[in-house]
Amino acid sequence: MIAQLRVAQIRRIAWLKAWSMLMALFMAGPVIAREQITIQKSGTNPQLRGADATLNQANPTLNLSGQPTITAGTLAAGNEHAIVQFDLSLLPNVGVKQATLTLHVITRPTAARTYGAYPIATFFNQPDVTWNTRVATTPWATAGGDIPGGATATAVVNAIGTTTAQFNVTTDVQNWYNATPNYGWLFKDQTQDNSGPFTVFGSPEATLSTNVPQLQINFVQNVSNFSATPGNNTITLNWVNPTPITGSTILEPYAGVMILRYATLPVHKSDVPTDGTTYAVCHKFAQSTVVFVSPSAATTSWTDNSACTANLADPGGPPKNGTTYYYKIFVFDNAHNYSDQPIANGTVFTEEISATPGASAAAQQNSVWVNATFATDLAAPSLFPGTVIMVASQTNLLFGLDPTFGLRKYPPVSLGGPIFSRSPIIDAADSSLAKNVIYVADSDSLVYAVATDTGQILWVVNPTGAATNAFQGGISLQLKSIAGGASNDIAIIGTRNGATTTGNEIVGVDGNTGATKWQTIGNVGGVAAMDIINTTPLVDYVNGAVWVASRSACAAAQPSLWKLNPNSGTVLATASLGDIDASPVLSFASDVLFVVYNGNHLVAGTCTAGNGVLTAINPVNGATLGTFNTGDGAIVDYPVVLGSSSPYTIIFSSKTKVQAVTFTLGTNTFAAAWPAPITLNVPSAPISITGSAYVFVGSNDGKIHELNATNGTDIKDEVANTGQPGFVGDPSLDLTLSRVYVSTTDQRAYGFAYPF
Amino acid sequence: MKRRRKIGSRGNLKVRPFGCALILMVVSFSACQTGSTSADGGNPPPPPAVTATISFCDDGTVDCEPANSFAVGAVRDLVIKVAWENLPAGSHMQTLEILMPSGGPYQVTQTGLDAGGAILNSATTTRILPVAGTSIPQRQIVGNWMIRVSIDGQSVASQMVVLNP
Repeated sequence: MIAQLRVAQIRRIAWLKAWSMLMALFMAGPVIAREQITIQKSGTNPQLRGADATLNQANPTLNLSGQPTITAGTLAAGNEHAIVQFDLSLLPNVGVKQATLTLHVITRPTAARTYGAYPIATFFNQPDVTWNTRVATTPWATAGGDIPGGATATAVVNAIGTTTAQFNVTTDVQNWYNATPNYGWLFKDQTQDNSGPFTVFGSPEATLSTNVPQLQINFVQNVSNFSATPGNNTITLNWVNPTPITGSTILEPYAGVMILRYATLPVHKSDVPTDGTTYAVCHKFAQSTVVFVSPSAATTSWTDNSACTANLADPGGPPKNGTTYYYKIFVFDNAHNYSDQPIANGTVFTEEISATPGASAAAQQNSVWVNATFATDLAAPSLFPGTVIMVASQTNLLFGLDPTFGLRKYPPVSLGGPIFSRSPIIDAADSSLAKNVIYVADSDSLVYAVATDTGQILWVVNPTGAATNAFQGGISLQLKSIAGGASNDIAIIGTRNGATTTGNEIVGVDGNTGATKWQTIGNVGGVAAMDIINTTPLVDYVNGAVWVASRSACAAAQPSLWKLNPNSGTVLATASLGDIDASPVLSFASDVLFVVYNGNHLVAGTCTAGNGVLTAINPVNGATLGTFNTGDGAIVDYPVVLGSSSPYTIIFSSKTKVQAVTFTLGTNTFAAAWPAPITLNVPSAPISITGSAYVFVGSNDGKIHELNATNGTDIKDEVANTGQPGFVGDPSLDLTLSRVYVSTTDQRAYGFAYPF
Repeated sequence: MKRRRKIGSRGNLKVRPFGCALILMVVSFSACQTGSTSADGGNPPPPPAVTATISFCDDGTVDCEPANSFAVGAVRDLVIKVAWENLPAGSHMQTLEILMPSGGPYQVTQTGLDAGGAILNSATTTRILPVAGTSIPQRQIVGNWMIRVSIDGQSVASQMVVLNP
């Protein structure tokens, strides 16, 4: 009897244990899985970043977008191509496993035809796109749409019975998550013989929801909030497991995470797991080592106690003080599908983090977040402090990141060309558009307004109408909320057409519509010759002007500093200072304009670099007040001016140094502000604000340096790029979160908390 | 096999021709597919190999004289020309990768090419790489830059260009 009771008790305890474990598991982390979702335009998914159109060879200048149908065919009068672009914003941080595109047939061809789906290779704008042009006056390289030679997939539409055309577009969608811009698909007849057949498909604007194109995607989400906290010979990792995306179907139970580690360098991009493969702890990839496989789907933290042996630069064992460790994390499901894109030699996106343990807090380092941008861009990230960071790239992508953990807010925005400079973000309260918006200019000669909340391109224009007028510098805005008047915000930018030293231009664009308000063109209408503009204009509200710095054909014989009326573009004054590559800046009171000319000069007909000369200018009359020769080559990007009244402190970087000088209005004299310039390995532009104890500057030594603002002492550094050399770009300061953001040449952007 | 071509006296080309395999993928009416035969009735002649020749010049110099080495402080825009030969009929996509001396990508651009209904004997694309006033001279990104071109995903040629400090 007693024995029976004991057995029953044991069974009850065992059952309760099992039940409590199950409940704990259930409560600790929701059951997640490899998910499947169907993306389709609807009332709940407006597909703000989607697009569609028919390109009609017989009507090559006709825009046929926003119609209920799209057509692909090979008619006697000419061919027709259908284009569809999906907004993938529902899936910002995923590994794509399968993608199937379905077009619904409205009108079948007279005979069976095969249609191909091609990824479009260049940017187009739906309201403008035609057979001939992709953006207003910008033509396709190949009329009818720029596509590769081969279709990603084909589908047959029969004369009888076919109701859908389905395409396996997995590789295209995976590429879009691996750095290739998403310009959508073009569909065309595989035998363009002008024999007459065509097929009408439902477009995203189809009246019946059943006719709207569908993109079904199987995916594994990444973790979020991946962080690394260094200690004394320890590093603790934390993360948040994904929850199912609304509307998705669970296909495979979520099983856990796998973490790779490497030391001194980030985990190599080729070190990625293969779907369907199980990896044990201490498995060695080509470079990195599997240091952790979570025991359950509920695990959200791990302190690195690795017992794995050394692997190349990784010394093995638990973390050691003074060594920087890099971690890459992958979510996997029960079938061991991983949260990455399985593309050989691709640039794989997943969550990364780094930390350096140390015996004391002063010796410890860690990045707050790391985000893959797939490209080199050394421009300072744009930001709406505490809300969003926008990081540009030279691979035509614009990333919108959450500043807290560096996660993508949406898949990157695909633009027409590389972006070289920092772009302005205006919040809805200050913007005449009443939206949180970033204004971007690229080397495709296009200017964009992009909603930072969604990544939607609000408008895009070629403001000069010429395909050769690329943009190198950033945009400056005259805000209606500050300037007053009836005009909307005005976006102002200068061109970089290297083919001319005289015919570049400055253009003003309506911030709400993109309409060109004015153009000031070199050697036209009495305007002096204008060389390339590499700088960002500066709106001077106090003096009712916009200042623009240009080159001047390597001499001082033509203007390089331009003062314009921001409402009309009328030239108010010019100064011939010689080539300028650094953007002008104003003092807080707008009583001194600081400009740096390069000191370039012609030697036997060759433009030869000189030393940058910091120049103080009276912004009222354009007169030079004083100069300071840096003695160390040209100044990088822009100086920083601190102080609310004279004397001002100007901090700038040159070829090998960071310097600080003061300028006193009245005596109009410069003087050294630090005991000595700080020598760095090719520094970036600095960043600081009035009252801050710190100046932050990147360098080619792979670090971001925290300098004492008072005397320039190098207080502490953080590793941001381990390349050889490791170029670190211009930093940005987020005063709300006390963060420094920077992008580098190792195809990443980083966030660091300051003070370091 | 196409013979290698030199660019002036300073050329240093690496040309990787590719032929029937790609033609089969992308061409509708090439000899590979139509099965046309040679005059002697034997096997069809192989289609001419696609080749690409990459050359550079500084847009700021007179006549844009081709060279493979430039002083970074003196270059205004680096003009990258890709001369294609024997492009199969149809539309194609050129991908041009500009790689930094460290090997990392600096820019990747795609350009459409339309050969029309027959093999295109020659076609040239031009890409401008801005140099003056960019981070290249400012941050001294100097050394051996590599330019790679591919057509429809098939790598065809690469060429080094040196930007000296």
